[in-house]
Amino acid sequence: MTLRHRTAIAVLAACALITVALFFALQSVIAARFTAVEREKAAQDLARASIALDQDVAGLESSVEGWASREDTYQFMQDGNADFIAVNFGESSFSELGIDFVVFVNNSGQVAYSAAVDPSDGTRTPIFPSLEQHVTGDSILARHPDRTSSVAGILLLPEHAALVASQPVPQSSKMGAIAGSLVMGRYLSDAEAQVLSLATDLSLELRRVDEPEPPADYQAAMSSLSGGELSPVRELNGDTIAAYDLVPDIYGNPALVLRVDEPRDISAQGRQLVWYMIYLLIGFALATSFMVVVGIDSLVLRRVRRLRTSVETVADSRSSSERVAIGGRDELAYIAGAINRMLASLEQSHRALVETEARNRALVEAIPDLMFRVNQDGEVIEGSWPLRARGASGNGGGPGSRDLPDDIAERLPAQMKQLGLPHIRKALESGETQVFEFQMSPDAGSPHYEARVVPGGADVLVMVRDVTERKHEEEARQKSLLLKEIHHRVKNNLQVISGLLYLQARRTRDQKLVEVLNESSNRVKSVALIHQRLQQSKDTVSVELGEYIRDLTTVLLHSHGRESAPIRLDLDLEKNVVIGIDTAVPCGLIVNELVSNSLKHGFPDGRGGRISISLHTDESDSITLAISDNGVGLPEGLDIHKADTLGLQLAMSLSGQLGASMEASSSQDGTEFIIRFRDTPADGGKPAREVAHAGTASGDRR
Amino acid sequence: MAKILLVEDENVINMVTQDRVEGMGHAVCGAVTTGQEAIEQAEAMQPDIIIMDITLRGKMDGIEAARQIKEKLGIPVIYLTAYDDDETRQRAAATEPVAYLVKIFEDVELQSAIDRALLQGRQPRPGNQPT
Repeated sequence: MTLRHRTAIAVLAACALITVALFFALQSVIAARFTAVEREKAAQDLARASIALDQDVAGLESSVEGWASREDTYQFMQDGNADFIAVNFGESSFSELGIDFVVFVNNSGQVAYSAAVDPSDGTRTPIFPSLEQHVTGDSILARHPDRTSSVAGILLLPEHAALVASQPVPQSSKMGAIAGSLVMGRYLSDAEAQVLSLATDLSLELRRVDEPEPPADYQAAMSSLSGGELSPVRELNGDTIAAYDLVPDIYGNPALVLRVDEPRDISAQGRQLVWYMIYLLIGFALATSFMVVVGIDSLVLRRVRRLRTSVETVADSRSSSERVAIGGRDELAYIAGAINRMLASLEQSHRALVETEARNRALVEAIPDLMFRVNQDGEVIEGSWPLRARGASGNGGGPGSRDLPDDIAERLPAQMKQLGLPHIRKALESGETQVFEFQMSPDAGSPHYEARVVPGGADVLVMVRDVTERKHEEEARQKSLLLKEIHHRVKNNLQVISGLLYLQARRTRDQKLVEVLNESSNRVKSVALIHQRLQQSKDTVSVELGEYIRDLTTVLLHSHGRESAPIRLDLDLEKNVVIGIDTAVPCGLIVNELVSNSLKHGFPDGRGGRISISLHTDESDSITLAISDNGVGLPEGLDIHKADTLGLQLAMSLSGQLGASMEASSSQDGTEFIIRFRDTPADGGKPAREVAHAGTASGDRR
Repeated sequence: MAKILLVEDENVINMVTQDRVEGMGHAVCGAVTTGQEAIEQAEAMQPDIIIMDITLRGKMDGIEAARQIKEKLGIPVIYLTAYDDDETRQRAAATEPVAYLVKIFEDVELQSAIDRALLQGRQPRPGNQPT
């Protein structure tokens, strides 16, 4: 339903409600007012009817007064002259006088003469015995206290209700005595009521109060009247309203109920007036509704439709740069402005979202991990395979393989699910990330994987990474630590041996033996130094030969007590000449023997000198070690290959072990040994120098 | 002449070091093999210098023993160890030793370290520092 329809319905409904409310208000106010007027008129008509009845009584009273004041009437009361009756109260006299009975009462309270007619046929009849009781004796009708006394009103007889009037019959002279009373009356028949009705132009009715079963409205009226209510008015039906009054008899007792009926013309006019006003209101409401709807439509709804059309255009364009076009300075223009601001904010957020999404996508693409969402039962919901998407090479058969299918969920090994399920459940229960490692196969060469289980709502995000390289690095590090510890212990043990030899030498007095012990101690130290260098080296399997030679020669110089002697070490040691332990040990012992030999024999008698050591490599990775001094030289004719000293024998033997060539030259200017060799591991593996070069080339400088 | 306490788990090395120290003209007041013994002997004998190995018998290593001795007594410490890695050196440096000598060392290095220790003397303990 459109706003236009809703507005029209709302306006019409409001008008209808107003009309209905006005209807009831008018009806309750106007109709009540008309009813009150109607009741007031009924009461007024009732008063008129009462006055008419009173006038009727007054007429009768006047007639009786006329007859009672006549001289012949007085005379009749004196003498009972029959002519008087015959002349004045003959057959037709009653109808002419408008009476139904006449009674002459003497001063003794006895009926002097009475006569009556039957109202139904006009024939002469005696008066009712019940009437005689009211006109004899000390009745107020029979005895008047003075000449001016008069009694008139209603007399309720069992047979009829009657209008009655009584006057004293005085002597014509004012001073004369009263001769009796004259009583005349007329029965209150329906004809009498009709006469009253015609006289007042009212519909009226008289009923006796002692009627055995009066109509219901009379009963109610009499109840109200006896309760003190004056002139009660009753609505007999929709067309008639009636007013009631009590008429007393000559004794002052209730005798008759006078009812006046009124047609309800006034209330009918009121109702008609209300309906006229309702019709007018309906017409006014319809006209007002139409104008209000048209006004709202032209002022508001048309702009709302324009706003709606504009918003729909923006929505259909699917472009965040479109804006709502509504001018003006009203609330709708403000809404349009707010929508445009919201659109601008959305556009900005959308751009930020797109950028963030691109960054996140790039980030996800950059992560070399398998990622997938798994429910609490270990079932894969969705997954991504960035390694495969980029064509990265894997280890085959597991995460990271380029040949993995799209339906990861079906192809993942059951073992993986079995391994991961406890961690998935623990992650969901604890809300903390769980990390575990696994292998797809127990084979030693099988890749190692690390799985990170990150809880996220009802599911978990599982990231699987190939950590084979890291595991190998860890193993290598562990191995390196182990080797360092081994080298440490070996060096310690060698140091203990060296210490033992030292202590033994300190306690020996034989100088030759002391020299032998010190030489042995130095040999042990030279090997211990290699283990110290190995312990300090990063790979624990190779030593930098130049640094080692520098340490060793310094130790030897101090060991031979020549630290203060003028023997200078001249070292020309190429850097980064790295050799393995298999080469380092014999090489170190050779240096130890040749330098010790030079220190021991080359500079006798405390003479000074110089010991030079050079270390170089050539393009073929051949290592050339030259040890020379400017001492006294080797004994003349000494063949180093046949020397009987342990030092030279060891040097020669160890040179052979190295596969080295040793050249010796000696003169009176000194001795020079040149040893050329290659770093050849005993197990036939790569030389340490090549390993070191490879490490240098890859950035791992040693 | 300095009064020196030797702390070294290898008795042979202890004997060698003692011989070399005494050869330099100093007196060795004791030689122990555990950190706890080192603390107790340092308190009892109040040596001028402690020559401390890092690897000791028992749960306490030489660095921890040196830290406690330094804290309680302020006696200068010379480390004499076979360890030459950065981590161990950094841990040892936190105890502010006079010297960190790596075996195999020469007498001249040890003598130089002893001379520096004697020159430095005991370090005032934190509680005794003037305010």
